[in-house]
Amino acid sequence: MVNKEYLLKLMMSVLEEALEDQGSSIEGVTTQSPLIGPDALTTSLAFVSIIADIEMSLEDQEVEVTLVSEEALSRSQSPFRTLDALSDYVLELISASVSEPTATKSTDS
Amino acid sequence: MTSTKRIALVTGASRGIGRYLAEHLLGKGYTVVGASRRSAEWEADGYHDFPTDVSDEKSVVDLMKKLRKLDGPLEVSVTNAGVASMNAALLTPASSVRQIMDTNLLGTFVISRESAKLMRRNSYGRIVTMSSVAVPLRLEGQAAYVASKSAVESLTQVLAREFFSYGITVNALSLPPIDIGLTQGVPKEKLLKLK
Repeated sequence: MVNKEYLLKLMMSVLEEALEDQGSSIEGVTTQSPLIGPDALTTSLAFVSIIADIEMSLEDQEVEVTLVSEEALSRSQSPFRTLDALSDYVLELISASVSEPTATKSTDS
Repeated sequence: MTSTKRIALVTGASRGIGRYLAEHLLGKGYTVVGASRRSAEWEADGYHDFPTDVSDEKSVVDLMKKLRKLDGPLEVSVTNAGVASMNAALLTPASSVRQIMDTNLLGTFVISRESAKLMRRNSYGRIVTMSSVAVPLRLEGQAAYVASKSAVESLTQVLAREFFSYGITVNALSLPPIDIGLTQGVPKEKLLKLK
């Protein structure tokens, strides 16, 4: 089941791999560590890979979400700022995708 | 030791150039995934036909899900699917332009993007996009097609720069007219001039 704990574990594993690729370590990294900005843990290139890997890992769990959108990028607080924020955002997207068909159904009936 | 076969994806493989490319890659030992709107009218060992509309993002994502279940890494992706329409610009409806852009440009973008996501994992990939000799010739009667292929060339150049660091090359192949369905609407004298 995809919940916050599951997402954080998955994202931490993706992040660990990305850090290893750039010769860094996951040691000392928390779910509140910055993913973007001047103190970001990874390069911008690695960040792109992290987002793509998270999307693909979720796809493997039959969860289809598109993380990067105009709506996400225009938020006053970026959902990509930390793993904690990103996991909340993914749960929000999942919740929205689950409620969409129900809303359509009720309108039709 | 298990031997995994390398995978090549060819869009528009049900017929024409795509079919020949698919057969060529099969001959080179690849497992080939063909993705066309219609099912292929041919079969071969190692060939997997996954009907796909390249202009539909979800359809492409579904294609990649099926491809990922095959044994072996995706190494080659040929974005061959394309449509053309021979018509004077003054008489070309916007719907035709949109359809051409959706298949030729958007389709190339989405297939390239999804292919790169998989290729990135092995730090190796070869993406080949399709342009046309109609671009440098500024072929009259093919405004939308030429515009779409010009855009594909620019897209290819940018993707090549973005994907290079992942070990993926992106190149465009510019072909002369070939006697296939796509050139059916082009008058013979024009085809001869292009050859």
